[in-house]
Amino acid sequence: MGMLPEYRPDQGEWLCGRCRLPLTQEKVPVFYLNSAFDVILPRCPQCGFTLVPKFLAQGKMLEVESLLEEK
Amino acid sequence: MKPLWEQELFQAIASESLHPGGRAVTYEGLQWLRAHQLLPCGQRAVDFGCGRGATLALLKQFGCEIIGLDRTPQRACSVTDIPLICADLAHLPLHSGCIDLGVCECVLSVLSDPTAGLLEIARVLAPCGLCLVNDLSGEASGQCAKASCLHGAKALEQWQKLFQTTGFRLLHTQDHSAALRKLAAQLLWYGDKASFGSDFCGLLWQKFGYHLWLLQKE
Amino acid sequence: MLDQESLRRYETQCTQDSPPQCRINCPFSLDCRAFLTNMACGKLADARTILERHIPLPHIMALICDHPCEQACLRRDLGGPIALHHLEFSCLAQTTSSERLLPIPPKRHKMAVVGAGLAALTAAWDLSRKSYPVTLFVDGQIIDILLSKFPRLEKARIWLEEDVKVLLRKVCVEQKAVTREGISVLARDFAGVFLDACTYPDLAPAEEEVDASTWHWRDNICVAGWPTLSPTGNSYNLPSRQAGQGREAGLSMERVAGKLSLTAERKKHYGNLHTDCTQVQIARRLEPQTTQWGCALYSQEEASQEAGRCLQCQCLICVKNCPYLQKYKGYPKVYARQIHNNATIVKGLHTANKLINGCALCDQCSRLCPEHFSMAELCLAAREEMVDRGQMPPSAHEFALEDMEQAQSPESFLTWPEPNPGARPPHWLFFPGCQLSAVRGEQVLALFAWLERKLSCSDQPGLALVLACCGQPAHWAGQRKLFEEQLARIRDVWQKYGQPTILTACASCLAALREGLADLPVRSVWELVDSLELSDLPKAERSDLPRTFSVHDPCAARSDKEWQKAIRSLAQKLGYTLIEPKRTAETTSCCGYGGLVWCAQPETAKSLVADRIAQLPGEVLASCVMCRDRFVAQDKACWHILDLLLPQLAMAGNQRGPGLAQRRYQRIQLKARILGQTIRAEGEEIELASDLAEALEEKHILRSDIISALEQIEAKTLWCLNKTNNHRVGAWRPRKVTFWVEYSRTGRGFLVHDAWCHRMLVPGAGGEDAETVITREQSSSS
Repeated sequence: MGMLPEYRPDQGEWLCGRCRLPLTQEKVPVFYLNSAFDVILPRCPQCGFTLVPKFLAQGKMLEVESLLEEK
Repeated sequence: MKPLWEQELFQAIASESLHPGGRAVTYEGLQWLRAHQLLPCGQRAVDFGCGRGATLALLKQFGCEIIGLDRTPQRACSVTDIPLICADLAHLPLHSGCIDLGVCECVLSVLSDPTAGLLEIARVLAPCGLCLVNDLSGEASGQCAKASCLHGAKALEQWQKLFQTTGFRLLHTQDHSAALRKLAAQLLWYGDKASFGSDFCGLLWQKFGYHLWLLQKE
Repeated sequence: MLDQESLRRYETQCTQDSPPQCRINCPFSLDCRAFLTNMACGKLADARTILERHIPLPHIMALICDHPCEQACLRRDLGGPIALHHLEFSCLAQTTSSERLLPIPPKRHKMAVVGAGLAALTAAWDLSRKSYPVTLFVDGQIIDILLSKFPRLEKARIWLEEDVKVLLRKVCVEQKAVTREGISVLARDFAGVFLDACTYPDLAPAEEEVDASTWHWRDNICVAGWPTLSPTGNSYNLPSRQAGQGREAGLSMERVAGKLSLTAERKKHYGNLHTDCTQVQIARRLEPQTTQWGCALYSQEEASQEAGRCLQCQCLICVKNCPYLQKYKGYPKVYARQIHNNATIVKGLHTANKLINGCALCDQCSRLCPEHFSMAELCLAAREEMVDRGQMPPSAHEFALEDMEQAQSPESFLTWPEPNPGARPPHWLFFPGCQLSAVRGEQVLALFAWLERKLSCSDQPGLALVLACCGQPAHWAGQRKLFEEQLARIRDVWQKYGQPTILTACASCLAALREGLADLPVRSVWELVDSLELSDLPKAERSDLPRTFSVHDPCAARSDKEWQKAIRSLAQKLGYTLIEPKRTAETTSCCGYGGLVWCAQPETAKSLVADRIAQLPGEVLASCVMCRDRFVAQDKACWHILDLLLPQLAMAGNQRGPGLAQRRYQRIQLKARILGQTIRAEGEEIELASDLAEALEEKHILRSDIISALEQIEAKTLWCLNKTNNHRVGAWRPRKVTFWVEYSRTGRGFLVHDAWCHRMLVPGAGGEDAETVITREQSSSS
């Protein structure tokens, strides 16, 4: 599948609060209104906690949400 | 700039069918025909613009005798062992009245003369023959580039008029605009607008819909 | 139901594209507006093209037409009708024809035209231009015959010759005096025959004997062109009438020859175009300084000036008064079709969704429109239909509906004192509404206390209180069922209290209850207050309270004369003066709260406020707290009627109302106060970074959302740590939105640095187990 979008957090080391393990970049499916999209996000390898950076939430996510809702 | 349907990312997202909604949309149309006793087994069907053959496989499942037709010779057609014709829709190398069912998916809007195409289809269809068309609906404003598939979109009333004037009766319309939106959302998510160029036109896709029509030759 | 029939009904109500009076009265339906626009800009060649398109024998008509258009012109009482006749003449005199008629293969039906009166020549002109082979039977020279009927043409002989020359290019002439038998012969030999009554008065029947809508006499013969008889018996030739009849007769001849119905689909019926002339200044008609051939001739500047006087008659009365209607650059008839198409043909067309959800449902348009077109009716029906079909986008009204839900939830909903079946039931039930309770809790309590005291010594004592929402937000969102659920709760409360009279403080509540609970007795609390003795209201001196206000009526009270009267009476009794703005009472404007526009399209709502406050001089008195707060938010000082009644508790006219989160908090606070409880102090303090508050308000993220999210994130350890700055970043998804919070622990509690949200569901973010989410979503979509 084409270029999978990937988002990294700000500089520095990020740890999962529960597991105390560093977050790694992993492929995650995200869902909205019966559509699914893949993206690479920082994720805890043990419990699955996934970080959604502000840039993604207010950027591509918002665009796609608007498109699918067509408000 | 290659047309949208030839770009790798589009092909990857739109899968084998190369039109919004994929097999599911075609299936719904064929299923309606079958439910209304209009599609018995053994019908001779042609997929105009068969591409990779996803619809051909589906037609086979519905018990049709299938022929594939496309303007460009396909290197990778998934269905083997069937006649594949390389021809232009405006000049079909088929006898008049020899086909029972024509399928035309997301093709009319990229033709320079959709009227000629439909007239040819009408010609090769047997009396009361059927045609399944799906395509883009909506008004194409001046921003879309000439070669983009959005350029050939028409308002619903214009499509209906076109079908009428080329000798078809409209049996049924289905709205699959949600499928178009989903496809657009995928393109928006995975691509960047620069790579798609004028075809994508950003969120211009919101102004369009996608419909399926079932037609019968008058 | 938005079906074809209701669409037609809506479309006929809007007369914006009906033709103006000049065009209706012109026998050739000349597009006078377009002609005058071109003349006003000095585009004489384009103006000429318009004339040549509509008018037969244009030079002759320019010389002698009696211009019925001018008699109908709306300018006639505003300085004099536009001098269309002079302008047409001037246009033709100063340009040459550039008309190129394309050669078309001639039609089969041969037409005969007998006579050379104006009617005959017009019929011949029209038919020949449509490529019918026309033979004109004249006895003598056409020019001489015309001159005998219209001697004025002598001075402009070259023009007369010009038109005749053009006519003869396409028409054959036979010199022949036609007799009665001759006519029957022609009727046999030709597909259609026209007999000019002016040339052959003895052969033609009387005008009364011929059908005036078709000029058809008998067989395939049409007759027209009689001279007109004045009341004193003077016979004269009226050009517009004769030429107009000739045109109609030509059309009839086409139909007769083609064996079509003479009358079907012939006359289009238009509603009367309403043009508002109340704002128009009188401008005197300009008479030209020069003449040519005895006809007035304008110079280009004079022509431009005179043509510029044209009102360009349009209706647009509603559009001119509503920024929402202006936004889409159309008018109601067009919008009705767009909305209808949205619902029935192409579902979910982007533009029409915005149109449907951008209306404040305030109904101002129907009061201004002479035909009472109601966008509110149309848009509300469209919204209900969208909801029924599952096409209303979730985010359009969600925020407002959640707010309504909160007002109805146990933390805010209150009936007080509890209904006691043993005691005497109260006569009255005070229902301040969800917004007033959220914004002016103290004043609500004070009013309640005062009213209860006053009523206790009346013959209708007993006042109870209900804090709830009437459901109007659900109504506006098109959610009929949800609306009825809220109303049912009110009915329930009303029953429990023994069916008292409900007193509302909010005009929207009043409208909602009258619409949905029509059998319940409901009044505005202001009417009741106005009927009581006011001298014992607590007084207070406030230097910032003005003595004079512009009064702004809430849009929901536009039909409620009692409400309007009560507010004005109260203000006057309390010693204040009110100024009526131009749009007041029945025609008042909406502040943007109505129809949930503030929620679905904040920009449109803001433009409604900007438009309204420009019409209100000085400080404003409102009787709806939403109007008040919205005006103040855009820097217009505004007070509420409660501020006049209870000045010691008044909110200053420039003090901004509470934000959305604070409103919810204050509803809870009001209930708690009434029940004698105090709000428990939060265990740990949550502080927001200073620049954050406003940014969040714009994205509709509430402080309470952040607080709940933070509580859950900490309780369930749903955060990750940025080791560089020790910030925690976590997420919580209560319903359909995932809230992210970036924060640090402080000595006193927490400091929130940033927050964002998204609606997309991300497994592993928000509290639910990632695997569960993935499995569920993937199985439901397959």
